[in-house]
Amino acid sequence: MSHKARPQRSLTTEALARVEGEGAMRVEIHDGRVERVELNIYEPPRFFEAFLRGRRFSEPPDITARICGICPVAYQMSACRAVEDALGMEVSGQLRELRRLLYCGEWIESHILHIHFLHLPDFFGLDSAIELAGVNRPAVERALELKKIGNELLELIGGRAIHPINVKVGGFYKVPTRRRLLSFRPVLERARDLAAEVVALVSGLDFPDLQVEHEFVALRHPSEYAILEGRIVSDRGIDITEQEFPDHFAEHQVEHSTALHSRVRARGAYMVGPLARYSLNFDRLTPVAAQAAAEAGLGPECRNPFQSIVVRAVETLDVCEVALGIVDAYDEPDHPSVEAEVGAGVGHGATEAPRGLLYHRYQLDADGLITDAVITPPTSQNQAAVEDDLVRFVEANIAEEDDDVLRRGAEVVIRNHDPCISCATHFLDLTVVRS
Amino acid sequence: MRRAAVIGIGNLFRHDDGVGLVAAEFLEPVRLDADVLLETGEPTRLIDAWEGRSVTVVIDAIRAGSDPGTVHRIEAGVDGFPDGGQYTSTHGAGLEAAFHLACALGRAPDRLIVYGIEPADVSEGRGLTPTVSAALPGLIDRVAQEVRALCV
Repeated sequence: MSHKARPQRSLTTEALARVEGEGAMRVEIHDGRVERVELNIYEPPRFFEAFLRGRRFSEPPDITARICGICPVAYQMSACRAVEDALGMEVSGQLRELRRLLYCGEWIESHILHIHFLHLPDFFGLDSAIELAGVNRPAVERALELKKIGNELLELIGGRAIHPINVKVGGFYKVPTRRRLLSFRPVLERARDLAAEVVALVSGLDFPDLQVEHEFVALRHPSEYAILEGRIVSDRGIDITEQEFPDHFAEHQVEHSTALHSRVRARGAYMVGPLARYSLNFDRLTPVAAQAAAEAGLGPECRNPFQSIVVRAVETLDVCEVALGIVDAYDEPDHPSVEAEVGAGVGHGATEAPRGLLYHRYQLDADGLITDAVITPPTSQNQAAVEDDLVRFVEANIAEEDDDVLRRGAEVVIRNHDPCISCATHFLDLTVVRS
Repeated sequence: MRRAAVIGIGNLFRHDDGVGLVAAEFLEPVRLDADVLLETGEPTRLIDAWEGRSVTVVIDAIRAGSDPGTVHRIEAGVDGFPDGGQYTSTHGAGLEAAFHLACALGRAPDRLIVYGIEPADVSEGRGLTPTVSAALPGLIDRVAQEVRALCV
């Protein structure tokens, strides 16, 4: 039976598996063309921005960390940097390096989880890492060991692995000794070796052919593969400070999602995350990671979302190298934090969460109380790009007659982006009604 | 072989879902001769926590369709264990997925016993409901007795 004999097809997944949070997918096909796709995010909105109002300037790092159990450090870092921007503070030197080191731990943990527990089973035609352990036990063992090292790094700098408690505006409550950090060096060397094995494993996978043309947006730093700070750049000419983010990007409500969609004001949909980061910052990778990327068959740009699994592996290797460099150069700072001088102001902070650019903005009054807060997480920025990928994938595979096969493929297209739906559902305009 | 462990898991910000953590706080490692650990239920951490132990007792909220406050006891491999199935995410992958993954990797404890209370309310918010609070002392006594008996 050809698709012409089936003018109407509908692919629906009511509860997406192996994504962070609760969402659904709906694809409607009419006369061989994709007429409508929706990534439905139905997880309840969480109103973080609303209940930050009236809180003290010192509270966003701990409150916003609770948005996500996978990437709390990203929320803490964007929050700290936005508040510090509002108060005119600069956190530099070894305190800045410790922040990067903490962030490296989160990247290791988050990337390894996504690669092995959420994404890799798709490439083996399996439903879970439990089944994967049956066919490739060393891969799952390696993942658990790397995940544990990521946890240990978070505990070492952040005080605990989930929702770290040692982070504050201005720096940390307590900093580790040089001896303590150096004692962790062999563990990081082990992580680097394991990460290189992960790159080798995922580079040998078969990748469906899909090239996307989204505008890539990521941070870029003069000398680092930007994680903690940088200018916001794109491959279509955006090159702005964090403070200019609201001038160039806008969020808007769509009917089928409790998460906002983001757009470049001048153009439309764009994409953040590993592919964008890698393609805009290939020349900032450590030599070890750049070499591994070349051996994995990646060029200086990667536009196939299925290959994001390779990019995540390369980035994991890169942060292991970065972490080793930070540990080697570490000198215990004289003070664990920079003192804040309370005053009115508006501050912006953007960092690279594992899933992509995470922007925070806070407005403070003269007493240091928050009068307005904006949080733009990577998943809401990527929603339009995910839907666009779905259209392209389904249209390219429209000849596939088996709806189950097509639906499974479409679900992988969503998982390519590692959407964190829990993070994205932070807003709902209850007054919007559309016909 | 590591000594026995009692692991309380749950989320204190979801009312009765925090019962495992609250119960574990009342158990004293010295008197039980067991490690007492608090966890979120994240699988990789659970596997690390119980690997190489003869006995692990997990305390958690368990929804089995009984009246709120009902105490359940399940022993893996004896009573059957809920299917880990296709976990929905790493946020949602819980005890079942952790146990089945550990079995696949040969990293499950010799005996895994799960105690749980049927929750009345797992919506967002702090504090146990009166029904579950009332059942808490009975749960703690049963866990303490079983751990002491197993560790003799």
